[in-house]
Amino acid sequence: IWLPPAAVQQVSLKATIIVIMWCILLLAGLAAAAASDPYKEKRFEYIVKNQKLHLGYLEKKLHAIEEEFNELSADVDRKTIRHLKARISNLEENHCTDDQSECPGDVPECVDDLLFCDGEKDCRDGSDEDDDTCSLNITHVGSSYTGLATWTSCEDLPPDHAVVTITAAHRRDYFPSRVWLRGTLSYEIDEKDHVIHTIQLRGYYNFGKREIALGPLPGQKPGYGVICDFNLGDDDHADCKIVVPSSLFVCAHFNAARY
Amino acid sequence: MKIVLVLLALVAAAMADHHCGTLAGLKVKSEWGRAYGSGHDREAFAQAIWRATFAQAPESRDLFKRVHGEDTSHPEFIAHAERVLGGLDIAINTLDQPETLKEELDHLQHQHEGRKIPDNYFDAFKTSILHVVAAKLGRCWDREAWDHCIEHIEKGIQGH
Repeated sequence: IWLPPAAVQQVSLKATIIVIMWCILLLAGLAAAAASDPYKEKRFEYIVKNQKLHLGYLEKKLHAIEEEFNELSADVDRKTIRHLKARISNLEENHCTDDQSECPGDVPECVDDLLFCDGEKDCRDGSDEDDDTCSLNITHVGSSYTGLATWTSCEDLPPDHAVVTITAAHRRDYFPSRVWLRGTLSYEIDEKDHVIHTIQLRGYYNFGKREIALGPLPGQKPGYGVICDFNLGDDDHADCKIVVPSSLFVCAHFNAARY
Repeated sequence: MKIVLVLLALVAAAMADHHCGTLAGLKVKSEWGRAYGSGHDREAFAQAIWRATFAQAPESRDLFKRVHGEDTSHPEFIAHAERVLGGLDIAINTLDQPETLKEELDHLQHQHEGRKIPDNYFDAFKTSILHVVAAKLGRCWDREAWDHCIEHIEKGIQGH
C-alpha cells in the first residue's frame, strides 16, 4: 500500500506507542506477580533459618572449646608470683653490707638504710624514695601480725599462736627514714586455760630492710624482742622471730600474716 | 660502813642521772663505737646526721657555704661531715680521760668561736645524733646517757 510519508510516520509512531504500552503493562504484570509470590518469601525464610542453625552450631562448638579451656588450670594470681619472686631474690646473692639495703629498682645498688625514704634520692634511679618503698602500710596503727610460734629456746612451750600488734607509730619530719613504733607481743602459755603473756615493746620500722624491730620499753625488765622481716613480696606477710633483746638470740620463730 | 656505801651508791646514781658521769661516759663511748662504724657506713651515718640537722634548722646551712652546705652529697660537704664526726669521735673516746677531753674541747671551741653559732643549732645537732644513733644501733642504747654526754661535749665547744 502506498501511503503518503506523513501517514507512514504516523503509523510507525502508533506502533511504537503500542509497543511501549505493552512493555509497561508487562512490567506492571511482572511486578504484581513478584510481590505476591509466596514461594520467594519461603525461600528467603529458608535461607535465614539455615544461617541461624549454622550460628547455633558454631556457638555449641565454641562452648565445647570454652569448657575444655576451663578444665585447664587457671592463671596464677599476681600475689603468688610476687611471693615467688621475693623468695627467689632472698636466695640470690646480695652484695650489700649489714647496714645497707638494695635499691628496689632495676639496677642492683646498695644504699645505707639510714638514707631510705628521707626525701633525698640516693639510689641512682631514685627508687629509695618510691611510693612503694616508702609505703606506711606495714606500720599502720592497729596492724596485727600473727602466726604459729615454734619455740626452739628460752621457753618450754608447745607451738602456739603469737601476735604482734602495732599500738602507736610516729615519724619525725626531720628524720623520716625510720618510723618509731610501740607495740605488743602476745603469746599463749597455757593452751587449756588460755593464759596469755603480753609484753609491751618499742622500736622502729626500717624502710630499707623492710623490717620491724621491737625491744623492751626502757625501765622494764628485758623480756623479749621481736624482729619481723617483710621480705615475702607484700605488706601482709613477714618472717618473724622472738629474740633475746641483748644478743638477738632467737627463741622462737613464726611465719606471720596480717589479719 | 654499809650505810655510807649505800649512800655513796645513791649519790653516784643521782649524779649519773643528771650529767655525763663516768659510767654514762663509758656507755656512750662503747655505743658510739658500734654506731660510728667505718667506710661507707660511716659516710651514710654522717650524711643522715647532717640531713636531720638541716631539716630542723634550715637557715643553719648558711654557715656551711664554704663547704657546700647547700648540697649534703657534695664531696666537699662529705669531707666536712666526716671531719666533724672525727672531732666528735675524739671527744667521745676521751670521755673517760677528763684532762685530754678538756684539751680537745678547748681546741674545738677555738675552731668554732667567732662563727656566731646560735645555741639552737647545737640543740638540733644533738637531736639529730640521738635519732640517728638510735636508728643505727636499734637496741641497747641509753638515751639519757647520750643526751647528757653530747650536751657535755657541746657545752665545752660553746664555751658556756
